[in-house]
Amino acid sequence: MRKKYEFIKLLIKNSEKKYLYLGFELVILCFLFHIVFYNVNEIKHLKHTLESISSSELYRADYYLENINHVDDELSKLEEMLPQGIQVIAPSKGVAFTNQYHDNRQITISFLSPKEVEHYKYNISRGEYFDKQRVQEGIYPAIIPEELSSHYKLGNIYNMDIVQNFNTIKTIKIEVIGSRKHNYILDTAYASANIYKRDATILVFDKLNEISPLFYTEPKRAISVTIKNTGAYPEGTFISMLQDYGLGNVESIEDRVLKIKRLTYQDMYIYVMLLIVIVPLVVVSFASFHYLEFQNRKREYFIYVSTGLTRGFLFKSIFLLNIVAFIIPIILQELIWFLICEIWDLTFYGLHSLMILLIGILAATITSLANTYFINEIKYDDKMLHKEISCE
Amino acid sequence: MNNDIVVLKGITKKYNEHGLAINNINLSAKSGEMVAIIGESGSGKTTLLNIIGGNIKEYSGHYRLQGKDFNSLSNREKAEKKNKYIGYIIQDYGLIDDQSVYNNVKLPLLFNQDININQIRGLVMSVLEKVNLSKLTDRKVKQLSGGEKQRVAIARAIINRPALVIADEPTAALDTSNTFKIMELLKKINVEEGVTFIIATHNKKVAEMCNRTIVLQDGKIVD
Repeated sequence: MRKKYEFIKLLIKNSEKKYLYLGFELVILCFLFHIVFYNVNEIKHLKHTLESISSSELYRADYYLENINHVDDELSKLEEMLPQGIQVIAPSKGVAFTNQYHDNRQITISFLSPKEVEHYKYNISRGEYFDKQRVQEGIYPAIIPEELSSHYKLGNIYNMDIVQNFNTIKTIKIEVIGSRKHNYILDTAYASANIYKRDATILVFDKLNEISPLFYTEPKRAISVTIKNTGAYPEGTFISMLQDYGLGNVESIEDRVLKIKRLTYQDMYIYVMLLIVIVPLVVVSFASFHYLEFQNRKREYFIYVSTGLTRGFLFKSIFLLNIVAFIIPIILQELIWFLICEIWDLTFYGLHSLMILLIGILAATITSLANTYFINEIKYDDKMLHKEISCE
Repeated sequence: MNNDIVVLKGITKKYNEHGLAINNINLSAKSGEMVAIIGESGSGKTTLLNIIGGNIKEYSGHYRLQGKDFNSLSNREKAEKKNKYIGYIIQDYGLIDDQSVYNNVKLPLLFNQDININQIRGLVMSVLEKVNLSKLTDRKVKQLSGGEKQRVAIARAIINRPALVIADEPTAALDTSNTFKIMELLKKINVEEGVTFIIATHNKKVAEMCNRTIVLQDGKIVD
């Protein structure tokens, strides 16, 4: 091994800065890959979530209440008045804080009413959704984010204290019936709605709708309410109908979410364009470097071959060199990306990192094979090798 | 007993459709002999030496090195022969100018599987002593004179104690004084170590210092 190391030192003499520059290019490229793949995944989850809640049929509207203390009754009356094909799903509500923590984050609960469970079909990765009716008295079915699966086991029952203003207002029993790998949910806590990733929020089925009202966003004169267009009315007609029944500020939830998330889509286009431009540039840069190194050092390589350099020794040495040249920048970049994900609470996709590492190893192998082949094929009469010596 | 180190029979090498670089060469060199191959530029000397040195694969005829058919050897075996049994002093010294004297001379030892990394320094210093360059170990080759460069090339060629050294115009770029000194050094190695030399030269005085002379003209042996 030491001999190969000594040989590698000879091989890279006077080219050390070029290798460093290539390493830097590789770091930038891998960062770009991560950003693009990360955003592609985020958009994928966003779209899945929007589809699962049938967001194209969902609208938000403000409803002026006559009696702010009986929100559910008011909304029931409203639904009775509304034409067929229009359903009131739920008023805006916040999450409930619990007395439990995971990774220094307080675990919260989002209570889903029967109507929300009926209309929001969130994807499940393990277990089952809230379709099946649980008959056990006083036990609430719950779906946890997979990030909490080390805390809460499928099929087990847990006590949880609901906390408000640092006081326990209620203790409930939950039974974990399922888990979600990517816990993106529709959050209607405020007047506007949006899709968020909530890795510390448990979805709990409030079958009798007795806890949810505790977390309705405090109404003033008007409350924000989610409404579903089940009758497939054209949007203009639908909005007009709602306005006729006293609902104001009507907007499509899907349009609103897409408008807010538009920044993500725009960034995506920029990153993809950058990849389309930069990947070929980096590939050409690497290829040019190796080609020029080979041409400039042909004489040197011929000297090595004529002094007895074997293909095996050459390949192993060059492979070692290329592994270091490719893999060390990649590993460095992955460490930095991991830290960025930890600090900014982004999801670290190990699969993406593995893929980048494997591509790096493949590139190193192909480069080494090519180098070994061409070096061994240098002909003694190559014009690059010999200087003219006059015979006098 | 046949102590021919090198035996060439009917060696022919084409350089294109119409021309032959060398034509039907029959040649042998005995152990401990110093053979000069004399000829003008373009007579085929370098081609012949490169065939003997194992750097040319496409030719017709038979080449036996130490009794073994060279072309029947695997690539690995050929590389081993080139490393351990043949020392090659390439035209225009064949050195890596940006590397030190030490790094140039140690090359064959790096590729020699029988040599341990810890032995390299000692062996390099020993051979540099022999060629009077022990004080220039760390000097870059491009900073050396012509005579010094040729000594470095000789040191590298003999470091693995080969049975055969082939030298392509070893004195072509040297003045008369240095030519004589280099040939004296080669003769000394030939006598003391028993190394066989095949030297390509256009210089008759260099040829006269060898045991035997072969004249090459237009790719053929004429004498």
